[in-house]
Amino acid sequence: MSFAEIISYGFVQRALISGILVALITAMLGVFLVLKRLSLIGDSLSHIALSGVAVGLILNVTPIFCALPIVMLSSLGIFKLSKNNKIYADSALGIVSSAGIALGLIIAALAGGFNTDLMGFLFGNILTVSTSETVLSIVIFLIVVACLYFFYNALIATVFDENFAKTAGVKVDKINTLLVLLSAVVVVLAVKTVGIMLVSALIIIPPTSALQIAKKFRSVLIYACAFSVFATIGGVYLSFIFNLPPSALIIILNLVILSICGLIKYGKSRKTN
Amino acid sequence: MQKAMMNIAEIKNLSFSYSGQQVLKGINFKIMPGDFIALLGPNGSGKTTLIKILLGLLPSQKGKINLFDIPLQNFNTWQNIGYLEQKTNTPRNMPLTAFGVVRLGLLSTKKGLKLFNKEDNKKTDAIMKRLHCFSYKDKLFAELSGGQQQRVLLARTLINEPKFLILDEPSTALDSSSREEFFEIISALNKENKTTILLVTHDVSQVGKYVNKFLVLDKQIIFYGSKEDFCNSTEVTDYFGPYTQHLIDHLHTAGTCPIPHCHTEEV
Repeated sequence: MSFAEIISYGFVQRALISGILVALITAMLGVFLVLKRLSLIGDSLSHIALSGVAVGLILNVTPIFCALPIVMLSSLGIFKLSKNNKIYADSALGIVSSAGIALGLIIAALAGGFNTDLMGFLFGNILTVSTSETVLSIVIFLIVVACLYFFYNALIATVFDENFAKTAGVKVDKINTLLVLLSAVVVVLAVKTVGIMLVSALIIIPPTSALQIAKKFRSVLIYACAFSVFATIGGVYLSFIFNLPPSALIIILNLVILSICGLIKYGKSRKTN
Repeated sequence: MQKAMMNIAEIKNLSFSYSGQQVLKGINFKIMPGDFIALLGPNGSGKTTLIKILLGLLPSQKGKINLFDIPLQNFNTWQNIGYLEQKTNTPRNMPLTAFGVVRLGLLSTKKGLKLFNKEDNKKTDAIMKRLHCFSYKDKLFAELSGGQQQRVLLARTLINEPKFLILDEPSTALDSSSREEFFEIISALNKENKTTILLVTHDVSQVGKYVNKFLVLDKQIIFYGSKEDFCNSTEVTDYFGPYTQHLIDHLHTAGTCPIPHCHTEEV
């Protein structure tokens, strides 16, 4: 089956539009989160999303819309826990992550166990993205891009050195809050594409690949977006060819890119030495 | 009627404790325009804590702080203040060039959307040339040596020509010749631009010739006054014993104590 034939289907078009937008925003946000050593926030929030999705399935409300407020509130909880310095950031992430899984399991059990819908959210199914979810992807994409554009330098300053950023008049707490809230929104959106179990990979791998080979901040953003989009399109295409789950193929392609970037970096460092 | 001179900073009855331990107690002092103050004290004496509270990086639990006669909580003209830490917590793989780091210093001049323009780039080039770090402007900050990084951070701190410069042990990463050059640069700022400087240091022999005041801290203020008074201060040597004796002896050795027959020489 040729690529042209594949994209002639409506559900594939929706999958690609939604997938590409999710790939772009997870990559862009991921660059800031990876550099701030907050990349595992995606993992914790996706586990919380499990609870939200389970609640949505019980209440018969679109799961993503139900998960969104729950995950956003949890992201603020993580921020508060790590900010008061009484709990390390990675511990706060671990606590929220396990709480999310535990609650999700209880809610799922109360609802009569894991049904196919919930399994779909656990492992993602980009090919079942609805029109309303595609529209939501477009709206969230525009919001994230606008925030990153307008707060670009404040975000860089905060990632570079929070103390400096504060004395440069940057409202660091507001910037951090913005970052975790955007992460929450993006995680919920990405759950449909790659699933709860793999969403953090979409936030971590493309930026990490880009950081291996790009030197300037803007280049890192561009490379991360390009890698992420390429892996998403490739994953969807290969899923038709090999009849395998697209979410897993998207992550595998991202890992292949990471390996290539790692080899390029290794080759460069050997040349320099 | 003549307008009263503005204080650069005024700290009134400041106290701070952390995990039940008193770190600062009853701190009162004023910093006047043009002062070049060396802030001294043994490790754990509260020097960095004092600076962080002064900058609003730590909350002041008790007491009042004014910057440029404005209460700290209402202060927003951060471009008037330059702050250089002993070391930054910059991510190891931060993809930012030296130029990018220096230009970030202009953020405090931006209102609303903090985007940079061509004028900002010119200003960045100019300060980097002035501080002799222009040759590595396109290198990644993370790949520079400790001395080069400190020079870049100083350029970032000075890019707005701040009226008040707060430096927390800024010379620790520098070799002795770079350190001398570093102090020459900030001394010139103090003399020529009347920049007020508060410098945390242990390097008394090197800064003694530049500063005009000493602030000695050990959770409370042990001494605050002119260099002349510091050399003659009995309360400082009485309190610290060998620690301050050593510092004052350094000033004499370096020939920077302005009074030839001061207290320590008699000991």
